[in-house]
Amino acid sequence: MQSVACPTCGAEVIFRSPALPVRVCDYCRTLVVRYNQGAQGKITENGGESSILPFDISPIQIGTEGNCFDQNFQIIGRVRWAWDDGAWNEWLMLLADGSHAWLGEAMGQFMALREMELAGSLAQVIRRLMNDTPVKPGESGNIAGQSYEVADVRTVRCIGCEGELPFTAPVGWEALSVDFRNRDGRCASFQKDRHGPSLYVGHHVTLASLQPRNLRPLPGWSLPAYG
Amino acid sequence: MSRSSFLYALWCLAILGLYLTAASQGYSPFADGGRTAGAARAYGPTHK
Amino acid sequence: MAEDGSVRSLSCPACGGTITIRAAGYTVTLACEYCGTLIDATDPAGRIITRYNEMQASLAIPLGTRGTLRGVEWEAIGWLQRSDGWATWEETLLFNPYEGYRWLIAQNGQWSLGTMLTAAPQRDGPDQIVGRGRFTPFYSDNTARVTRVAGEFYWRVKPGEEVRASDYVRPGSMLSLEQDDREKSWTISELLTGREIRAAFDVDPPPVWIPGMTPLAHQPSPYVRRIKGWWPIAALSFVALLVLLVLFGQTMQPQSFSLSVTPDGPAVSQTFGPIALPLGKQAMTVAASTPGMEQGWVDIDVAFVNRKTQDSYDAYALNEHYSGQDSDGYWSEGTRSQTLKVASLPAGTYDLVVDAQAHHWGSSGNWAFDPSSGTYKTEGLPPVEVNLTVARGARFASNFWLAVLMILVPPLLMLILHIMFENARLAQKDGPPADADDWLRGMESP
Repeated sequence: MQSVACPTCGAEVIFRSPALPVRVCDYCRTLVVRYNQGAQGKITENGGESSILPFDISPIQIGTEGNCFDQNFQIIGRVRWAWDDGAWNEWLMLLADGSHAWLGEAMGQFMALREMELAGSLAQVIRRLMNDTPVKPGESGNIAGQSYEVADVRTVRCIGCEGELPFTAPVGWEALSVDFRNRDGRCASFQKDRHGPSLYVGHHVTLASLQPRNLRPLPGWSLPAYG
Repeated sequence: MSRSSFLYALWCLAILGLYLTAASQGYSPFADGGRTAGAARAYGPTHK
Repeated sequence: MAEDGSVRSLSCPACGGTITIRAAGYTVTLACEYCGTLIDATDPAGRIITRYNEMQASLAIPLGTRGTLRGVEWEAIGWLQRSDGWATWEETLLFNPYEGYRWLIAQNGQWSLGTMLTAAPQRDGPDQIVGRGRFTPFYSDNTARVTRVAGEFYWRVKPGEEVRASDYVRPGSMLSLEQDDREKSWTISELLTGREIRAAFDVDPPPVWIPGMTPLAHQPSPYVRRIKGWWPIAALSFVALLVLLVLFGQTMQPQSFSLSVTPDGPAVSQTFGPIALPLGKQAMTVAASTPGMEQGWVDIDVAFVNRKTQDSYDAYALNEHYSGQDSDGYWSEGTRSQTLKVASLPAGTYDLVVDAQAHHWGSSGNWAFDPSSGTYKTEGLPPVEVNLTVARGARFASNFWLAVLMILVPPLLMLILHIMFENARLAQKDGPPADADDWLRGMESP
């Protein structure tokens, strides 16, 4: 855990993960980037100030804990993405072994995803995506030995973020997002933005299967008792 | 046991009961013979 | 926008009515429940997508209603009406922030709970398998069209939106595939019992099926469950009946009597006795045999006459025997012995009154005209011996079979209703006509 003062407002900004470079100040929403072990924070190059996240009724919040990928996790950050027909949350999980993973939340369904290196023999559909060749829903390809089908292809826009993040995510940042599904409940997500392509692989989860603690209390709704 | 099963069991018990009653009374609706309808065969004068 | 707990509200930009957003952050489209206008919920200003001006239907479950279904509290947030051209149904979108979304689908007064699948089903021939449930094809490639909308949705819904739908069924559940150019989604809908849906949302109870009504494709036959529950009871009753048949059917204290009658001779009337019956009421078995009879018949009237009351209990036997030679050789017919069972004789002392008359049949013998009856009769034939064995008690097989029939009547009635139900259900099936497999599947428990 590392604590720095926000370069903009001076409030204490705490990095809970050892490896993540970006943190949104809880008070002034400035994106704070740390360089190596330098204790000094800095405003990002495009002077990014993350917008205030619009109200949503997600049951997850920063600080929610649970179990995923056979390890305990804690939610430390979130990016909210929007596309023409809706928006969804990507929650950043800090896993017990220090690595991180994403918990995607869309239409009341959850996906746990971990980044996979884009190396070795890749499916043709992935190679085409990397070369900016259009891909249509229904096309299939192998990822990590499993057969997947393209479920949807959309251009997405970051509309806000909070907490710690592995990258800077200024508002309005655009990316190409392609979701893959397979018939066992596995899923994968390909994303290409100005930093380059990345691939995430995982599976659908239910909130109950995460055995979550410290969920966000929502007025008018009773917190379910899990476990 | 569901309500319908209970009612059906009751029905079966009633049938068994009827059967038992008929058996103990030596009764059958399909007997070859029984009490002659109408009257007894009277012997002797009926004069008063 | 007012802030109140988890609910956000805004004024409809078209009619000014106050509408609420209950799933903020998820909801994309908001249909004003008063005027039907579609509002873009992703726009903070609540931009109008399409202006409508129609009276909204009064909903069976008003938007905002909460209900607990299978242990989870749900809030009704959206409602839409869809039609595939011949059937119309309503879908209510349920929301719980911790559980996500579910659908309540209402058709013909029956309610189903729909859950979207995150994994595609496994294909097996024409069937689809989800977990341990096997679904068989029922409706194929229909176009389902949204006709009316109210409330909020997580996608851009609008009247006129169409999806191609195929449905697979098993008793109690339907598996639906809906696809458009962009997406393919699988949903399982489970039929809710009247008790479940009424406890959750106070709606009218689902109608009980009567012949003539069209069941839902995944509606389980209510009769199968009964037949399945009843057959052990029927088997047990059958065994109990068998035991009773064996226990109450013995004959005892046989007494034998005999008399002889001359064929075409005068009727013989003879009284035997006494026969003492000690019990309250009993049946009597009379075995009447005429072993020596050839080419003729004997009418035997037996009557048990109570010595005290003169009550008479009568039965009649006809013993006959004919034989001859024809091109096929020797033939014979008729039976020389009969067993009569007389019901319900009260205790007492009885006489057995037997009236017997024998007749000759055929051309052999000496024929003479009998002026008293105006017919020809044979003369000089040897008399026929009539043997009677009277015993207390009787085994009435008729009672047994009647009882078996009565035990089987309710299950048979259920079976007929089941067949009518399944006929009506399977008549709606698309594709190849219903086969034995479909009927067997219909017998499966939900």
